[in-house]
Amino acid sequence: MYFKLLKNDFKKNPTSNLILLLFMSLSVTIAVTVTLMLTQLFTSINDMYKTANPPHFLQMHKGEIVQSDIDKFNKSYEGIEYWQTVPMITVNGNELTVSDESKDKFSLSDCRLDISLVKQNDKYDVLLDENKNKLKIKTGEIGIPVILLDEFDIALGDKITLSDGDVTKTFTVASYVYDGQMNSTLCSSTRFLISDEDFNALLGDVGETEYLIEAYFTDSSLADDYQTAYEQSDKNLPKNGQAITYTMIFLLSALTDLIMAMVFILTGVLLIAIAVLCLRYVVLAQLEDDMREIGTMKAIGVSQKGICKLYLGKIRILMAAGCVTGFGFSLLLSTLLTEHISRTFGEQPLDIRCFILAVLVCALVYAVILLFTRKILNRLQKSSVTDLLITEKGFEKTKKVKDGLHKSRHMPLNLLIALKEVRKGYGIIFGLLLIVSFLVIVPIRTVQTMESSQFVTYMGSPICDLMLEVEQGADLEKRNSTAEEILLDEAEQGNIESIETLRRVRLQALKNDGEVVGIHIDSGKSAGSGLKYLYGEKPKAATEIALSYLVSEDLEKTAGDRIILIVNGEEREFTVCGIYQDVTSGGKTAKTVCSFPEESAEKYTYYINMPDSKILQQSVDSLRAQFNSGYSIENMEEFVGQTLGGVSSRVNLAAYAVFFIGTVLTALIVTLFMKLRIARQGGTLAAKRTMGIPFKVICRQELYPVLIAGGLGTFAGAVLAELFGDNMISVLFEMLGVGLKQIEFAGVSFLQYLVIPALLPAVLTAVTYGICRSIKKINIQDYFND
Amino acid sequence: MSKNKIKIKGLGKSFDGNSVLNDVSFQIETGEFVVIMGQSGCGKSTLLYSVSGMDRPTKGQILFDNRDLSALTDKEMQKLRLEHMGFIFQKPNFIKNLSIADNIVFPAFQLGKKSRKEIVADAEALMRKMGIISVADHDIRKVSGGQLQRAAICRAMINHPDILFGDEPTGALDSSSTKEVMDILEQINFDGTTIMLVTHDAKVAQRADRIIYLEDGKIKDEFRKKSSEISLKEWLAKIGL
Repeated sequence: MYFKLLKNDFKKNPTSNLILLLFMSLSVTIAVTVTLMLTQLFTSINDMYKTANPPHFLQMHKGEIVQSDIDKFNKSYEGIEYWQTVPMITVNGNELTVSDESKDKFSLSDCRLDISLVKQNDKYDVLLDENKNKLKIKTGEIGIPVILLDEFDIALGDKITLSDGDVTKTFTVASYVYDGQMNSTLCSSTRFLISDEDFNALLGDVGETEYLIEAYFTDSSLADDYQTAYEQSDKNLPKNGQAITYTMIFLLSALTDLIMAMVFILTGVLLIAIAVLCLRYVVLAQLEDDMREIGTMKAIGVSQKGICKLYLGKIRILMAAGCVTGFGFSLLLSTLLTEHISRTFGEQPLDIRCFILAVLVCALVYAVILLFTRKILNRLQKSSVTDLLITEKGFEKTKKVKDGLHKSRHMPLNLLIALKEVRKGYGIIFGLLLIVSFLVIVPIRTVQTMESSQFVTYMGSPICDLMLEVEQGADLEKRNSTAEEILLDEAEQGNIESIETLRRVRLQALKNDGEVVGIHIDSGKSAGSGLKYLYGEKPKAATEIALSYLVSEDLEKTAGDRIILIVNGEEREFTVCGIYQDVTSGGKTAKTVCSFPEESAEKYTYYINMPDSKILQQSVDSLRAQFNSGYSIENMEEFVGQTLGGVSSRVNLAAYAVFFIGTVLTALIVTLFMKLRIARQGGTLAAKRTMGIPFKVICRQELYPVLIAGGLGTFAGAVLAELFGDNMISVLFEMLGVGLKQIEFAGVSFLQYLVIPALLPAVLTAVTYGICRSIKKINIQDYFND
Repeated sequence: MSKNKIKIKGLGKSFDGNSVLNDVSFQIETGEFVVIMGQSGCGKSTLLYSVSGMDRPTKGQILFDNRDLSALTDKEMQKLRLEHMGFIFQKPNFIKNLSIADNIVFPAFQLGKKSRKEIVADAEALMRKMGIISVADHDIRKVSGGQLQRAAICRAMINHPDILFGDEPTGALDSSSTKEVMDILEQINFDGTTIMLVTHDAKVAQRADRIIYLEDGKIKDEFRKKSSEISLKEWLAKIGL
């Protein structure tokens, strides 16, 4: 019977049923795609980690090491399962040249990541091939990190030549490396795999030797305690570099895809909201159309449940069809969206558990939509037979008509009519445009913010043109003196406008319970200037210190609290003057104007402003030419771009997808709305035609309320996006735990904002006019006599 | 102004090859009250819609104030309806979100020939005359069928049309509301407005100056109150009503 009812209903209202079906399918598609994407992401990473075995704790170190000290410490530490120290040869990008017969040579000097040559490990921290098998490299061959392929055109078979001083060695690119540990542009380093023979031949002769001190535990959660113990132990343990634990390695690996999934979750939730809005409108319209039939059924004693079943049956069938088609679409869509996951973590066939979870999510969407339909159908209970058959009051609440039209003297009639009409029945258009504009604006604004020059302030750096880092390693002080000389010389010649210097030391801070935490502290006259503070302000006095958000969370300190630092073995008290956000160095940094001459420096950073920012790249190139290895010089815009490149390009892709989906949804729902409206308002429209109201004017009278409701919705969506969008994104970032708590959308030009309000009303106008053509076909006689 | 408001010559209308009106010819004089009667499906509504220019005839000619309606474009036809014709129907069909008063002033606002102040004054006068001034600001769903039909007459009269067309305007009303509406129409006609009405109700028809009886798309008989040798009752009996 339900099929018969649905069949007849489909014949009567094909458009509205098709649009409903489409929305149900889309809701299921998005929900299932997100599920598949997330499960695929986590199973891919987990699968990769099974073979790759990334460390639970990693300490990078430049300089000499005493392995026996590490062994001694680890042997006495409970819970440790395995440890190893992996040497790496760190080389400069400009020392590596890629070439093949068909293309020009290019160097990897633009690569922001620190490049290291490594040999394959045995069982732990293994580098993999695309099938997640241990990668084997022969002598003369090299494996290229797969994450570099976004930026550099390197094909298998290309030659890579390493030239450092007297040493020149050419490798053939034999494979792409899938690295469990350093697989994101958010990491600071990347690893090229060479054979044991080549590695041993080059070690000590080229670049600098850096060490990865790695530890594995019976449970990865023990890594945090180990890190504290490692830092507290004694000064002989090597820690001249970044330390990172398993959680952060996992997070950095997943971040790019996680953010994209978050955007899709947001889209999915809002899409389901739109589907419910649409469903409500269609079901209510149908109830209105069937008012007399429902009244008759009630009059002859058909129960409320019985009548509801008729309508629920139709929704159930539509929803079932929506689930099947949506599921099919999501399988196709997830293949496209998980491409990045496959590219980063290797091929991953669809796991049966993913499939089961996706089916459960599909069932959940089905249940949610059915629940809402039941809620809408509850209105049936509130209407009496008299309401339905005699007064024809229907199911909608009648509102008092306020006078206005006949009392207005000057307002154009079409606008007056629109203002009266828009008060009732246009909620769906308002709601739709509110959701769509919010949905479209938030990802676009997020991308704009991430691409703006101000974003660098979330990376613990002030806004400037260039950043020069004197990197960790041997002769740091000597290299820094050279840098200082060159920069001062450039400044004297007028090539540099301003320089700010920070000296980084690593000190230990005491938590409230006496536990010790290691933090990177940048000291200098201008330390903490130009940053945005969550709480408090930059340090001014030598006893003040500003902490990054993650450090403040770790130490449980906020602005105004006291903090103890251990300087040269003695406790020294500082006042926390401010909390800022930093995504670099694992998010754990601090800034103070106090210098710590008794502590050896980890690195030096120079923030440089140029007199002419138009020739920035030229200036970068000219400075680079004056510095050898051991320095990194970055154009700040490129630094942000390269660091966040992967993330912002994924969000950008999601923003475009949302924009496209939003526009299509708008067109579809307005089509549905106008079709139903014309069908239901046929009598009024016919009356207008008999009165001699021109067709164009009737169309305008139909268009204006749509534009007013849509315009107000768009505006409200934009206002909400501006008011709460950045808070929402901040919550997402905070959940990810990368050191960001509060992001403010970057300023945007009025023109940029006009694009969305201009496009959405254009869609509304085109669709409304298109549908209004059917008014011409209305048979007047159908509406005036029973 | 011509004495003949409307001249209909050899009017024919067919739908999908089925002839509904066949060679219908008659005239309506200015100020006349004409009723079209006939059984269901005889073509009386089709005749009304063709004469009022809402539907194009298949054959024949309709002259309105000596203007051939078939020569008019859609735009000209719309203008003619807005300025010179009024319509009332069995189901009035109002704009739902507007009050009674707003629905009445709507066509006059649309025409824009008078100031809004004058239009409102006209509408108030009409509503007073029709006895619905008390429900002027009411929702159209909150008034009775009779009040609604009187509001429809006000709306039809707001632009002071030359002719008022009615398609079964009392078809859905009870006898007392029917009487009230017919009294109003009689008064409107008395004030000079030509009326052409379609009905199957003999009580309604007896208010007219002339009754045209249609059968199978053709004029079968005609009754003129002033010149007829037989009474209306006898004529109705003669045609079998």
